[in-house]
Amino acid sequence: MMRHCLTLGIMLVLPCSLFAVDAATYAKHVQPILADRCYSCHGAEKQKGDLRLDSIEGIIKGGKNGKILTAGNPAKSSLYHLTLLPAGDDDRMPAKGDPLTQAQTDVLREWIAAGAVFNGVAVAAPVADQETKPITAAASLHLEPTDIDQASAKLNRPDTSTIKILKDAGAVISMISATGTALEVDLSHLEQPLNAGQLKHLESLATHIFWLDLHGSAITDAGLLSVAKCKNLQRLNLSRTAITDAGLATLKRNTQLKSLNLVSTAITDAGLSHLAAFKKLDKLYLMQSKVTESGMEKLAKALPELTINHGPHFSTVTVEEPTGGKKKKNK
Amino acid sequence: MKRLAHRLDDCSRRSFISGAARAMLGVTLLPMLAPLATAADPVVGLRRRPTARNCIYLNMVGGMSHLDTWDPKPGTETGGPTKALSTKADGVQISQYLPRMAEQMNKVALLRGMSSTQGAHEPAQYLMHTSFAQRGTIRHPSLGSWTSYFNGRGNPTLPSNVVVGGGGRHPGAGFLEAKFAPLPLGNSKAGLQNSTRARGITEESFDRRMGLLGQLNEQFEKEFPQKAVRGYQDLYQEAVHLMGSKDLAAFDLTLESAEMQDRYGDHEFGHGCLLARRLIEHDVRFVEVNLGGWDTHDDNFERVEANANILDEALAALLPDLESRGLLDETLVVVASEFGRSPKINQNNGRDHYPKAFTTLLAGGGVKGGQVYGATDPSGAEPIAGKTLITDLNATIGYALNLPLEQVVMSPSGRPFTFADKGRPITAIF
Repeated sequence: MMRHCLTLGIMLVLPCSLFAVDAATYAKHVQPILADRCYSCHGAEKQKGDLRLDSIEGIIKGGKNGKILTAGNPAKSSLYHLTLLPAGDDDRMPAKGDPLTQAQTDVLREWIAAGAVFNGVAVAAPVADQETKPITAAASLHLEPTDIDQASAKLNRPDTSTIKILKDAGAVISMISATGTALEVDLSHLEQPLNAGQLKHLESLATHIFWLDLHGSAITDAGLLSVAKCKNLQRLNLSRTAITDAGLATLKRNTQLKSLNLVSTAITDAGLSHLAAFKKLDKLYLMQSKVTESGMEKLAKALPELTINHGPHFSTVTVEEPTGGKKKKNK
Repeated sequence: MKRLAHRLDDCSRRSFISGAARAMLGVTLLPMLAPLATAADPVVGLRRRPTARNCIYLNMVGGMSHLDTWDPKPGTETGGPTKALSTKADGVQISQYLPRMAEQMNKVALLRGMSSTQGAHEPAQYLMHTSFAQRGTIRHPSLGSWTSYFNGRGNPTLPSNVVVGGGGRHPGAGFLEAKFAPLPLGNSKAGLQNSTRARGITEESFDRRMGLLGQLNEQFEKEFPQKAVRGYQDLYQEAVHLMGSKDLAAFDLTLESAEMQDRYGDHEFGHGCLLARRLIEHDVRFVEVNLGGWDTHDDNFERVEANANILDEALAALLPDLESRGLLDETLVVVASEFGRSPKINQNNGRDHYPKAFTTLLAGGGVKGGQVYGATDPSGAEPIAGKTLITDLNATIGYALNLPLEQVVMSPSGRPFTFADKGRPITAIF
């Protein structure tokens, strides 16, 4: 029964979030857990397995089975993963008493995942937000940081309660960086448009929003004033909305934009002319809008790197005479 | 590992399993470099972030001949009569049976070093769907269900993942809860069956009945707060949500212009691909469409030509259609088969099962187009570069979709699993 509780617990905890409420540090969060549950066997009185957890040196040194901590990698750190074993397992830690609580194992995991820093730099503590998923892959698969990781590295963690309010209002919000600071916000399935209060909350997250999806939503030009506050915005989808050329003019400060979707909107050449300021823009979608060839040409001149999509380019079904024999081999 | 081996002497089942968990964790993960937070100069080796949030998984059931589709070997003995076409991607040739795709190859990456460990259809299909070998004691979740589990649903009223023409052997949600299971669709043209109230039942009486059902279930659910019980209730709730969804139109292919329907082709697979595009447009996150008929033990060349024509028509319509809507960047398109076919042509002018070498196609979702990753030897028998296992392919799909690849999820029986088992993503193609 114990074991079932534990495994169920793990299933619930693992897909949880690493949004921070407040910073977790060794001194403030980790040490109290160790003191409460570990010191009695791995401390001044007893040193089971030649391991002491009551000093930083002891934790780093490990015990007779080797190191117990691999910074950044909870799964390779027995300090963490032994606490997850089923209750009856000989190796389960703490060996006596109840297993650690979800919150406690979360603290250990997050602290190790963030680099197991003992003093100084604070790392993030988890909160139980079942809906938001963790982005832990980057740390242990050694994936190099991405452009969004880079761009969002200096931001603080977004406020969890704000995210919850927006999620409750129907927004789909996901984390898109290993830094835990960059968000994708999808407002395309709201049952009702955000009210003034909710909009305020959205704006408070503005710098965290890197991707914003508003396709088919009720957004108008006035609503784009809020979008304009998302300074880091890289991808914006406004397809199938009632926005106009005037609305696009309000976005002129969103210079980080890389991808903009204006499919099925009333945007004309006049609107396109505002886009020339987006030097980083590399994809623009204009199918079923009101732009003309000449408008697109003008923009293409201003932004030579830009790829403009204005309709599907299907294959023309002319079958080339097949080449046989010793044609050059592919790479 | 040493500890584990040591243990096998007096192996109790429980300690073996938890030992195996640790051993598995150990090999899954590589030695740690500098953690991200403290990486000294993050500009070095900066990647573009994979941009996919949806996946269209085109499943070529039966074992697609790589030699007669994506990896032709014209003029060789094993290549048979199949000729090659130059394509819009420099230096990349594909078979003459895929002329429309030749014009779209600048959007596509081919993984030509694929290799599987399973040579029979069912276990091989199971492996590609789940990343795990099929066994009697557990059912693993399929890719779409994992995606739904980790990333949630994109459209609150539509199912998060859908399988078109999948048959009954699909692993579905595996050990995950029923709510992560794909919605199976038989005939895409018929739309979503039974999604409206039965005739003669008013909304009021429907609500009353559902209310009564809730009351009847309440006591039982309180007494048995278990997954299976909850799953049953979730299923009802989802069906009711779906009935009321304004996005039900996503399932209706008749809303597409005749020209668009023509483009995709008038066959089940073409309808499936068009439906997939509509569903993705409505934020269904994972759509699998099946195309059978690749098991060409005899008359390989005629049959591959006929089948490739279907694939060619639908896929060459799907990619530009997604692109022009701005969806290709956020949708990873996969054309995968459970294995390839033998370089040796048998006495029936056919090719037999061949898991050792074959090709998978990836497009969109941040994958750079116009490239080939991996290669087979001149006979098409052996990967000589970029060998990619099924688990690596799945890790790559997971990577593109931003799934937490090293996240361990415990099955209800307490066994640890990850999305792509021990697979490593091919990050070089993004």
